[in-house]
Amino acid sequence: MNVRLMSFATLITMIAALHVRADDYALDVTHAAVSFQISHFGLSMTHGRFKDLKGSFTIDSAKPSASKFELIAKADSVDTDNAKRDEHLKSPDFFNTKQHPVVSFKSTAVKAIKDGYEVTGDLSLHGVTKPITVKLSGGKTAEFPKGVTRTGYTTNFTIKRSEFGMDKMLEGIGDDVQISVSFEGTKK
Amino acid sequence: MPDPIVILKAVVLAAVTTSIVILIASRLQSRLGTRLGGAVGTGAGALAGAWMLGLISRIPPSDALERFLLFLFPIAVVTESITRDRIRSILRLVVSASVTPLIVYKSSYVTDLFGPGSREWSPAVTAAIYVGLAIVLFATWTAVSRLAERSGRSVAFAVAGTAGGTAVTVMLSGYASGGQLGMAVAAAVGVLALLGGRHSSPGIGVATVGLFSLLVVGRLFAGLTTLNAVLLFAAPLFAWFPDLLARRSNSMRLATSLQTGLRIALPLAVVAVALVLAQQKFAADSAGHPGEASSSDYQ
Repeated sequence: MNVRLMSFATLITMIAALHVRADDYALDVTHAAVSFQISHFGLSMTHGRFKDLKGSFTIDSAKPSASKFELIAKADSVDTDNAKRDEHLKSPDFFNTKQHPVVSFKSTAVKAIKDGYEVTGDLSLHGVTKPITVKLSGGKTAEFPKGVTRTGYTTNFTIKRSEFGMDKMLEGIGDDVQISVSFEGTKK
Repeated sequence: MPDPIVILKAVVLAAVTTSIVILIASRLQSRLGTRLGGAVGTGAGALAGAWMLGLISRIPPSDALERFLLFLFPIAVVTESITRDRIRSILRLVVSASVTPLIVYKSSYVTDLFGPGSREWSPAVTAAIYVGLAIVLFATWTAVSRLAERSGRSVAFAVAGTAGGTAVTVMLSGYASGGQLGMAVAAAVGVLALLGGRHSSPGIGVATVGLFSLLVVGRLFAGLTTLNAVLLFAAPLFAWFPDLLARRSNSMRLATSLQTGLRIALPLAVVAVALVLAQQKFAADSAGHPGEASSSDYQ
């Protein structure tokens, strides 16, 4: 009887030790970047980024489908290194930032793949929300500074801005927008 | 980038539409026919031009200018079609009070779009802006319409020039597509100037509301400066100068041709100032870092 009790207790302890809780991360905005490039008359690519970001993510190694990702960019923080162009981008011709100040992504489904995750979620841009699927690669961890665990991911994907209601000047400015997202998070 | 061919098509469509409506309304030899010709002609012309420019493309409307064109602009047309002065004044007041709230509806100015407490205007500031802009629009609308009843053709020329200048200024201020609405309005009012006479006042009233809305959208949603918005909206009021001068002193009564010339030239001079300021700002903002991108690179 005592042996059985001891065995059962040991089993419970082992199971408890094996269970890995999901890790919550806060976005490290100093090491996060959302950039894009878009065709200008088919001649070259114009590059830009969003400078004001916030977000968080949860990584559940034991149950990847429980992982979550959320990233928010302030549309008004768009920066293409040209004040006039940035002013134009913020106008109703493009982002219409006074009407739609936020660009956001919130995951709805996560699947583990080799070297990362396949994440499906809602991309909200210009007042339109559409599901997209992206592949996040990364997941290495590091301790920096001491005592702070961090991890990071990168993804690249393309959207059509007209699908999000940004359909002005398609003859000169491309419809396809190549987006690159790279971010680190610090474990809470 | 604004397509000059599309703009030309929009201008022609606006002008033709306005002309047809005025010609039809002219057959109604009545005060109603006069008001309908001017108001509906200008409104229909401007809307036809806006449609050609792709400014009315979605229902429900997706931005401030679309909201104005679909909801309030037709009401402004109906207002100016009313023959009874008292009812028309009341409706002008209602439209004037409605324009700014409609334009900023669900924008970051009045809504917490980026989290609680993120709206840019407090409720008190919002109320003050609504009341202030309503008064400005109502007063200018009334003043310009009244002058147009006396000197329709010259005031129409002044307002058409102002609308064209507004179009270019708003486009230079970073709202390339919306600014083109001013071209459609200029074309419609230009027809009033050419055909002249009794249809001008109601049409000019409609155009004034259109210009006000374009300037408010340009100021609040794009890079139009407050100074340029004020200069452009006040420009048609300078057409009052010769008449006010004559009222102050009989000895200052000017020759009719000089009065007409000043009624057109003074507003256009103010528009020219706004254009110069907008071009200077465009060049300065486009310059980027010294030695690097210039306005031609941006274009």
